[in-house]
Amino acid sequence: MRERGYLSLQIAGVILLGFFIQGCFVGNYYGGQKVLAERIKDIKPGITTREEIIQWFGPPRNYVSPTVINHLLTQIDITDEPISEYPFANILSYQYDVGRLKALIFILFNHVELDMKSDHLVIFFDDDERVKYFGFRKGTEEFK
Amino acid sequence: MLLSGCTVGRVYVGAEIMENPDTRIVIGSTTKSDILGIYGPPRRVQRQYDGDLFIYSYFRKNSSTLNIEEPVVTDLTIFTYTRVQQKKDSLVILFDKDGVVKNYGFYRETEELTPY
Repeated sequence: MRERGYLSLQIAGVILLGFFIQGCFVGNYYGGQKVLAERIKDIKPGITTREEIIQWFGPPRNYVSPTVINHLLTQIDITDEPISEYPFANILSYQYDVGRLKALIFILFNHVELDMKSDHLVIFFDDDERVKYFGFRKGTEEFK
Repeated sequence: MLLSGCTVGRVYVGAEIMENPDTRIVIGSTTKSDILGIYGPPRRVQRQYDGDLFIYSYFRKNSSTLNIEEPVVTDLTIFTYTRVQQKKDSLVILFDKDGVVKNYGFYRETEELTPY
């Protein structure tokens, strides 16, 4: 008798959950070309040239079109500024964006979370086209 | 029949500014190279006639919405409550022509965010 009671309770619980939990959504976004972190140690200020940088890392982000996510974030009014901006000839920027979207959809309650992280390398050049200084941040590691 | 629904949204964009600039930056001594080593690439660079400007920012947005509606007969929304909090940690560093920090400003707004 008691077992039947538990079973009914469990069935009722499943039905109730089925009614309230509408769905769960997990989305990942990857934008741009991965920044080769293992080549960062080869960058030597005063020695490495712009040509070598482009050979190692490919075309820089600030010379090609901005990513979809950059457009999206400004278009849907999530943030009013671009993710990054380097409109100068003596700066090369490489950026790999990762976005994580998690959503829990219930009938009465929804929870939506968007987190954007980037691996980002920025390199400044001197007048002789050699690296003057550079900075690198591996932001996507924060997701692990 | 009345139906009420609540939506909670969270948006995080950028890298958190972990290091307190008051302990890491010395005006007239810290260089552009030091700054790139401490904080990584800035979000934006602005060029001015007397030196560059580095802008670091970390953006967070918390939103909560509560709706009460009658979806069957009238399809009326009876009550809507929306609260959006948008805060940004910003660090702006001004360099002289030699690439040495001339001044900086820092404000941590995200601490002011409340959960709901």
